[in-house]
Amino acid sequence: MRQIEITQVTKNYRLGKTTIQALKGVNFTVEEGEFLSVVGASGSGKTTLLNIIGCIDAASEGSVKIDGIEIKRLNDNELTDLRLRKIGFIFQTFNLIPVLNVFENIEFPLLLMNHLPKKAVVSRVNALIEQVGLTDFVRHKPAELSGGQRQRVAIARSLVTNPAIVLADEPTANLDTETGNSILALMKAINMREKSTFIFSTHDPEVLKYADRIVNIRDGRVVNPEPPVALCLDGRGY
Amino acid sequence: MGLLIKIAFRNLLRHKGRSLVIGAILFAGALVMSLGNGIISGMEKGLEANIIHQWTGHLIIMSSRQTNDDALFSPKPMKVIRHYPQVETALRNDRNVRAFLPATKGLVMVLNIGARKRAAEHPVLSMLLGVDFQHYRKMFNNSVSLLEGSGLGPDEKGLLVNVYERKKIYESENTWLLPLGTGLNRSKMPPDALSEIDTLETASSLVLMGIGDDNSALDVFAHVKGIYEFKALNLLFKEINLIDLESFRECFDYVTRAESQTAVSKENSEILDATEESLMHYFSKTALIEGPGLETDLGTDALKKEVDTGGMITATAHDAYNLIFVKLHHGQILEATLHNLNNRFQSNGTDARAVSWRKAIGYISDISLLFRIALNIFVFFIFFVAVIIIINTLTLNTLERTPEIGTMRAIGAPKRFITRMLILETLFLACLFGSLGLISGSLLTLFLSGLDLAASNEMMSLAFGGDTFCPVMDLNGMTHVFIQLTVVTLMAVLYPVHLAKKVSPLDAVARD
Ligand SMILES: Nc1ncnc2c1ncn2[C@@H]1O[C@H](COP(=O)(O)OP(=O)(O)OP(=O)(O)O)[C@@H](O)[C@H]1O
Ligand SMILES: [Mg+2]
Repeated sequence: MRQIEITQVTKNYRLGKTTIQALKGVNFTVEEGEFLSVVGASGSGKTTLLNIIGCIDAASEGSVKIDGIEIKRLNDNELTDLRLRKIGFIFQTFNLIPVLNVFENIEFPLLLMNHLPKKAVVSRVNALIEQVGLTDFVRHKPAELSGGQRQRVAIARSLVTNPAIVLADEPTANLDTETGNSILALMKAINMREKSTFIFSTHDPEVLKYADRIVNIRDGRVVNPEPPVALCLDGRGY
Repeated sequence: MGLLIKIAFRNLLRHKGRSLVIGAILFAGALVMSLGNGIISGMEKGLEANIIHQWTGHLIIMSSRQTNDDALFSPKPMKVIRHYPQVETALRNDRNVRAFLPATKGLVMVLNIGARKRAAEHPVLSMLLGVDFQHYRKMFNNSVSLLEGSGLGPDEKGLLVNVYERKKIYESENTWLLPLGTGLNRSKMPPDALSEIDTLETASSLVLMGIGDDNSALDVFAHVKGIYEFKALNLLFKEINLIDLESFRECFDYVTRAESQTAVSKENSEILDATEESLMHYFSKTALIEGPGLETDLGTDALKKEVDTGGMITATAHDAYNLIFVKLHHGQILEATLHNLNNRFQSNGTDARAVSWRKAIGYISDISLLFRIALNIFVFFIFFVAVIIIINTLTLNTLERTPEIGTMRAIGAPKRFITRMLILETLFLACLFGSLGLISGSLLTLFLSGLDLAASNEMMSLAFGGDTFCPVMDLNGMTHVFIQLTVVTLMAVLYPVHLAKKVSPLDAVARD
């Protein structure tokens, strides 16, 4: 089933008198449960694209549909609610809330949803802490964790609401190769188990092997909308 | 909500320095505000108590023809209450009334000081309050303290001069008033008078002429029997000189036709007996005020004639009063009683109307208002500074936390979550440090009032509202400070919250 449908999306940034076109008419679709990677050179528009899919930025033109809903029709409250319930974010810079410990950071989105039974919340959070292997760090504050541990907390947080789509913009950029690998492996495992759609962008060829499909973006355009996976793994076109 | 409180509280702890800056400002603000409020309330309460208990009572009744409310201090002539007996009945029948005292009040011109006739160009004007002195003392809790001489016995005639008035007369006339039959009391004399004590001119009597509104005033001779001051707030009432009712009425020609035919009363013959030579001297020379318009209707000629012919001065009207002081059982029933009495007077066609003490003293009640305005300007200034500093700190705080706020927004926190979080943080500081300031201010107020600081001069006693510094902190004052604090907090939080609302989820994605 088509979960994300992007048609003729452009994004213009106005810088003084000049306008920079970060996206120049992007078209592609994402199926439910895909593990998809967006790759491209620096400045090609990866972050811009993920931000638009994640409803934290708006396209200048074109249409973005999530589960058939045209997102430019939604107001701020509806977009916020969509982000809360349908989308999970994993940031390059982890973006944990400094004053909350591991457990509380992961719990945060669930508490925003209100009216969830306390027991269900606790067991869901604990299950995720176990999945990301942080059982020993439940009461730790972000400042007391390593980069990899922080990103694991972020992954758990992005998944706690059981979102349909998880977006990760260069999730491994601030991590060493080994840790990056383990983070991708973890994401992949969760993708298999929870059936959430994962879209991540990366510079790192090392982690590309986890992707089911790769969307190649160059200078604001998708250059291989539906490339066979094998093509990428060969290293061609890259 | 639990989440919000947790985040807010931990953020405060995380930025301890910042929290302490805001806290200290709120603490100091609350402290100063509660102390200031306590002082002003103390002054208002003190003034009120002193004025009501020692000076005016709760209500003042005057003729309904008297158009100005501020009768007690206005130089405007007072109209006689035409239906005094009806008013008296009404007061006696009113359960709320505890006591009342009829009186007469008016402005007089001092014609002679002792035997010396004054020049007319610079009239000395004095305020007279005609009362039965014994009743007056009872009514007003011995509010009068006699410094020299004696008071007035029952039916005794004479004048009690305020210390200030004596000083005023000395300064303009170079004559030192001495109560009849007393000597100089050096301890009570100003340096000027002391320095010329050997040549000092003294006098024990005045010739007064009432300034009525119908020009029918008479000259009256009065002995100075005492020098007095009001025990509290004499500065406010320094203009007032006390005189017996008989003399006052004569002075203002409160006579009726019928009475003028009757034989002279005992008191009236006494006054004639008691006169010094100067009186005869005065009358025989028909000392009149030289001035346009005044000469004709003074009635002095008629008086002179009567004296010359050995005739008698007219008897005064016994029920002629122009003022009644009324004390109630307590202050809370003031408005209701005022209303009742006025309704009653109106429906019975009685020539009387009641006004509250506050209205009757006119501008003096504005003194506490002035103090309050001054305090409020001061408080406003503190407010202003506090709000600016807090806004500054909170704005910095918001800017610094932009990525954090952006993250919250990106992962699904609505705008109202962010605003609540920031308001809660400030509110928590306001509650904690504000209430600490409020409590400290209240305790300080209590402590200060416990010190029983005495006012060392009359200006101070005016500011204190009485003889001792007695700031009060009551629920009212605390509520006042609480509201002020809330306003400060809300104003200070407005702009930072507005900024935080503008943080977009995109700000989660760090960008330099
Ligand atoms: N806020 C902005 N204002 C102006 N121009 C922007 C803004 N964000 C991105 N751009 C421009 O849009 C283009 C695409 O940027 P984007 O961040 O999407 O690239 P990217 O593929 O994520 O690059 P990188 O791999 O370095 O993260 C770039 O040319 C960038 O300069
Ligand atoms: Mg990028």
